[in-house]
Amino acid sequence: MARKVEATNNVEPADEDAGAAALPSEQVDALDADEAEFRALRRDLPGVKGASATGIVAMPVGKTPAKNEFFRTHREFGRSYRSLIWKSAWSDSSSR
Amino acid sequence: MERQFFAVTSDMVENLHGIGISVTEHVLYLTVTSRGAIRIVPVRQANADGDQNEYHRTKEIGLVQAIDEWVRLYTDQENRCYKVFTAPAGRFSEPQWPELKEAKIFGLAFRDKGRLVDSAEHPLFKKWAARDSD
Repeated sequence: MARKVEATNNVEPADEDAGAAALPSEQVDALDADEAEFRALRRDLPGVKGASATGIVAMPVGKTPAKNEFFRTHREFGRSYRSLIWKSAWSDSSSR
Repeated sequence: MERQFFAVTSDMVENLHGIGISVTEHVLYLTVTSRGAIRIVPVRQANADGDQNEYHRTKEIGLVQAIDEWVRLYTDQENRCYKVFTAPAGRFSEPQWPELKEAKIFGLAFRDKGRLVDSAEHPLFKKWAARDSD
């Protein structure tokens, strides 16, 4: 996995710098911030095809872990507090 | 129609009750499958009398057991509960968790999807209160 991540991070398209140089500095800074945020969000999972390139931009919530899948539970997340939850029947098209 | 979970701020509980919506306490569990799918699973807690639905109670048992080992939940329809099947030791490698703070994960799961009811101006609250044409 380490070799794979290193190779991915070292890949830089030849024209990337040229494109960035043509942008105003404030836009370059914004792009750098986006990239930093993305790298913080992105996690490469070993042996998980496809998931490594997506990053985490959404967090599904469901009544059970994926059906018929083996899973693990995070040791600390959420266990120190309770949340007030309202469970509602609502179509995706109607929700915000 | 799809069942969805909405988190509610404490100060909105009374407002929701006023329009006939009740909220219940849940503990949130963060899970990851052996294929890397991450999901938050809210588990409804016991009511004021200490009663907890058997499905919820046994699901929580499985979620807690999964802190230390890979498990799979399946339903026992005869007894109306979940049962836990444990994977053989060493079958899967250790889970990889996202390096995100709880607040960020909570935000991704609820606030960013419009599923944090934190004011009477929330679109869903307004819809339930028939104020959505304001």
